[in-house]
Amino acid sequence: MSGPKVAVVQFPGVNCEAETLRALQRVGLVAEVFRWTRAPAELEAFDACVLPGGFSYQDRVRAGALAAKHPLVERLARAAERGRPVLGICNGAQVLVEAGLVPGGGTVELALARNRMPGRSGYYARWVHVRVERSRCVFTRALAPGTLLALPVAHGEGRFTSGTPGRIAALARAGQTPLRYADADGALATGFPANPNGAAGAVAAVCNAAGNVLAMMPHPERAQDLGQLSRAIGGAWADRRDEALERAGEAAGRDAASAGPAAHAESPGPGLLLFEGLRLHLEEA
Amino acid sequence: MSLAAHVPPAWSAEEAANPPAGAARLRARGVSLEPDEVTLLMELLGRAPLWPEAVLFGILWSEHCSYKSTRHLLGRLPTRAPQVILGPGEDAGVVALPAPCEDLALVLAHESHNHPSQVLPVEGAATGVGGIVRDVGCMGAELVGVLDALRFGDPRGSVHARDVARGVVQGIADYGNALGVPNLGGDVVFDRGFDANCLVNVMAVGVAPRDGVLRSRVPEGPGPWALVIVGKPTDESGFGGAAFASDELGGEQRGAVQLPDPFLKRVLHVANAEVFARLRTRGIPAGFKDLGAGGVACATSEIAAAGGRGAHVRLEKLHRVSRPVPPEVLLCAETQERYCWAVPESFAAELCAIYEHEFELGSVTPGAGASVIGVARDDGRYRVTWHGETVVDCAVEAITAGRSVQRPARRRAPRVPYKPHRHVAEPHQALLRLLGSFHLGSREYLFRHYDSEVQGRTWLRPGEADAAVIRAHPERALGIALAVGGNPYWCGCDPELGARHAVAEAARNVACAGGRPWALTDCLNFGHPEDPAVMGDLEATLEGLAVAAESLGNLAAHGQPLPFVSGNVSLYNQVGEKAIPASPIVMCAGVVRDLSAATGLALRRAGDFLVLVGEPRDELTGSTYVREVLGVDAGAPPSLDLAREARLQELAVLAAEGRWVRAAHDVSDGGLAVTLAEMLLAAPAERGLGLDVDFGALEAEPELTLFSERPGIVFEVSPERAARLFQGARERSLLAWPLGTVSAHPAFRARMPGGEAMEWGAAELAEAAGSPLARLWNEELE
Amino acid sequence: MTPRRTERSVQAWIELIAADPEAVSALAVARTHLPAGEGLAGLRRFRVFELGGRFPPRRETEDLLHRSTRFYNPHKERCMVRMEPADPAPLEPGERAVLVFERDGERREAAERWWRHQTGEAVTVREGVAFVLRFEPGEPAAERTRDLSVLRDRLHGLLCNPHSQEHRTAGAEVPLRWMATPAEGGEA
Repeated sequence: MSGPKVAVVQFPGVNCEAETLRALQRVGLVAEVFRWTRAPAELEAFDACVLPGGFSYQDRVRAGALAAKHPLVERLARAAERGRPVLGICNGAQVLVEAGLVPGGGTVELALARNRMPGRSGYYARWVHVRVERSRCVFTRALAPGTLLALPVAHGEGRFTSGTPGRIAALARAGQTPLRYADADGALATGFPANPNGAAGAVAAVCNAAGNVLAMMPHPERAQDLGQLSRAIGGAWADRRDEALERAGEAAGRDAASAGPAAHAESPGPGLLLFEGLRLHLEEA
Repeated sequence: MSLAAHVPPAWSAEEAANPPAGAARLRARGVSLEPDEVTLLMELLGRAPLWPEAVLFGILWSEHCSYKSTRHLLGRLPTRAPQVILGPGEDAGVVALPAPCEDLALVLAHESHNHPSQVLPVEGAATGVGGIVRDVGCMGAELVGVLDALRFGDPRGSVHARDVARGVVQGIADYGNALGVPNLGGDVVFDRGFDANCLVNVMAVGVAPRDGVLRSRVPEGPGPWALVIVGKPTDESGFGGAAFASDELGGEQRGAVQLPDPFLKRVLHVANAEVFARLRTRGIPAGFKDLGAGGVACATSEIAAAGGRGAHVRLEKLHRVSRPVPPEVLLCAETQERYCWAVPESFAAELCAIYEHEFELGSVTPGAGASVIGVARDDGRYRVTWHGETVVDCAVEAITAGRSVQRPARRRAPRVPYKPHRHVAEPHQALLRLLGSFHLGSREYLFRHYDSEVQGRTWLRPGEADAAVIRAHPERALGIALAVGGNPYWCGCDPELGARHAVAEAARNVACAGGRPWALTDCLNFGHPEDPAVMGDLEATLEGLAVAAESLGNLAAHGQPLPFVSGNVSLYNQVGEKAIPASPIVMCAGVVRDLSAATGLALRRAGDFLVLVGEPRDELTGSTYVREVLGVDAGAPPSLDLAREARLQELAVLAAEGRWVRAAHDVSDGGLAVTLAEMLLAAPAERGLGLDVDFGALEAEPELTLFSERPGIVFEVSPERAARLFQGARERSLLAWPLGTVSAHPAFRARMPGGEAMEWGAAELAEAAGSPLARLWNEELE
Repeated sequence: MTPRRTERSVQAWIELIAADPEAVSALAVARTHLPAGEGLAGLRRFRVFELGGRFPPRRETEDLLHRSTRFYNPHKERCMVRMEPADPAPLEPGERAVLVFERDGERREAAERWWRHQTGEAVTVREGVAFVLRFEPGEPAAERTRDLSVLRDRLHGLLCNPHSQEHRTAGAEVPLRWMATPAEGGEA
């Protein structure tokens, strides 16, 4: 009996597929990179899809705008309607928003607009905290609301916004904003840089009503290992990282051969928890 | 398309007999050959050159390509050590790694893109990154990082200087972020000396299977060997760029700057990886070379010559833009995002299909693809034909012979060290002024432009440690540490001593992060080689680089030098009389045996001790304090004892590997006070950490104590491990001073040598340090 | 004393001298994947600045725009300036222009600061992107343009995402004050 398979969809210009693949494999999922030149029908064979980060089509016209028109995305839409999990990370999130897969319903209701930041403009990369909110999202289901995750963002167009007044607030009330920017203590981010792009409601991710499609701006695959966490952040995850490194150091002192990789295997980072959520969901299905 | 069926000669019969006239004729058409080079070319060919041959040799013999003024001097640098697999000579250097990565090789390259960045900062810097990643990519390596060392003019001087700075950063960010290669740091210096000539040095790092490194030459064996060009369709862009880099800036430069395409490059790299996998699985031999200066001509002639062969290139087979382009332009243009393969003819069709069908390059950029343009030959001739018409026909030795020009050199008089000033600045304000200067202000604003995380290998980011640290392999514990060095004030004052410091600083930064210095790259950025003073500085620089490298290789291989494995020379960074200061820039790559021991620079835990190890605080010469705060000439660089430096770096590495220390930061620009402030500022604000320091422990004058830039390292060490650190220093005859402790109060509290108490709040320090770059980017300078 | 200047708008249309990769990609995707794009024959892309305030005569205004890369870089781009409504926009007969700009994000403070530093005058500077569409003969250009302009779903719309961007459309006559006017359809 073969287990569930995950497609990591690669549009031309995507550049995060390798580490995204690694994160999926680390939680025990079978995954492969699905190149844009393959027949879209082949996507049927996969039980879930991830759209990784990067610069698909060089962000031409608008980030995610051109990839959203690719026939693969039509396939993804139909798979999503049938309940298959679809995760869009950063540029992948932009594609899902431009294609109307989130908040779902076929039409485009949101934009990921240019960052609004005091004293700077354009692309911005930093580590932030996000807080898990109550939702049906399959990727965060196993995480209690209020759980904090330390994740990096790196984007120029990450500000969730809508032309329909109150739409984002309505999505939040409906439980469709499973991740929101927060400070290290868990309070909702009220400004820059805790909210790195000025997103309405400090929203870092939006899912569809059924919860199987998630568009998130932060990069969970870049925080799959505790050791990957930036030394510039504080909070509980930073403390966990320091403890793990101390333990790894002591282990290395005792036995040089067990250093590094052992520590690596024991210390899943905050980002891995979202891929873990996917695995749990696929196992139940 | 109607092009002249007849390929014209480079000059008329009269001009052929008169080299200066011939050279003038070429110059008028944009080709730079000296009269004696014209004569030499005629001798090599045995006839007057065809126009495309004149263009080709104009590029080959430019300073940028031929290193004619410096080639005979570069032999001074040490390039051999047990860990070196391939030293300078090909597009990148290759270095072996220790267990558990002995099956991998580290690939390093270093280049400059100075002149184009001054003219078109965004495109110039972007194509600089584009070029350097190709140098590493063409060795069969996966790119794992880029670094950049930047020198800009005085931001307060002109809006153009600020535009160049902002544009260059944008160019590097736009290209590297889109390509998916993390930015691993470097440095930025602002000085009037670079007002008219910015420096953009870029370095690339790659990892390849040790037995899968591709050479830039036609492989051995009978062949037949096909030459295949892949990538962007050739156009007119960059035509004459190599010659452009060898001339002063000025006049009409419009045609020479190339257009970058990181999107195409990204797809190309994914396609390249597929080709590498197939070649390795099936054991197919191949040569791979990137196209840079001199375009198709240089790449095809060099890939053939390096394999001891000639070549015949059919230029009409080259995929190109649809509008008509003359053959000499197609041959020598510097269109970006192109590589050259030398593969068995039997594999050529499959190779092209990978690029054109499996990866649909033509859909990414119209006209992009792969074309078989020629074949290697055994007759020792390099021939290019255009629809059967000969365009170039010469012996391959003529291509590779190179040029060497002896330039007179004049060493400068030794510089006098700074004599203490009667005026002494108030230390509280002085530290804030230093942190608020362009030289020392925080680079955080700049780092936020760059993706330093992509690929998921990054362990310590720029700003988190003295060197960035990445994983060599996603599942193994070995790390690579990377840092740059090169202080233009010091090098401009005393090139030999400044160059020693450049190597020492880069290696020390690597050691502070827990890396054993393993290999070096360099770029020599100077003015006109026709100026004996410039040549004298260059010779002195090479001497300094060599002496330092010879002393600092022990941590990789005992008794061996730290080897230079890749480098570049950029001359003509000068407008009129105003040359840049001598500017060698050095990158050091180091090996971190176990990532969990990689050491950052931020304060970690209240109660820990702070210890200074290194030289005494006994000289203010060369210091930023004298220059920025006292506002006078700072004189010669501080002295440097290389033997002690080697022992200091050894202590740093052992302290990291042994987990004796929790943080390490080297004392350099700004001195001890700045080092301590930076350790505080790098700690997360939520932790509320600070410093309690007694400067009196150093038993020196306050000015010297706080601001001397004599080398040293500040360690944060737990009370339990402090004795071990002091013992390690004693064992190596190094001086060590206890400075104080890390506190739980977010301030830098100090007792001065005279007994008075001083305090800087963390917020106050952060505001000062955060100000310069933020104001530059927001045009908030007066 | 400088002559009295009245408040007015100035428009600068900036195009890459080399082929514009954004235009090439947008055209390819529209033709291949969007029903309304099947008849699209050509697509050009311009950056458009709209300045408001008091300006010196044409030559000086052009020179000012030429001097700072905050507007354009003459090494890689060319610029056409309109100072009167009668000045033509770079549209061929039959072409339609769709101007897209960020809602509440179209002002360029850096450029405004630079202008004030150079001239002493306070002007407003807005920037957007104009896509200039050319259709095959026989295509209902206005209707196709409308369909291609505003993103609705996977098959309809591309150029403007209405949730973060505003757009204006024009044919042969492009208003001089184009960005700052509230959208009234704007069809010409």
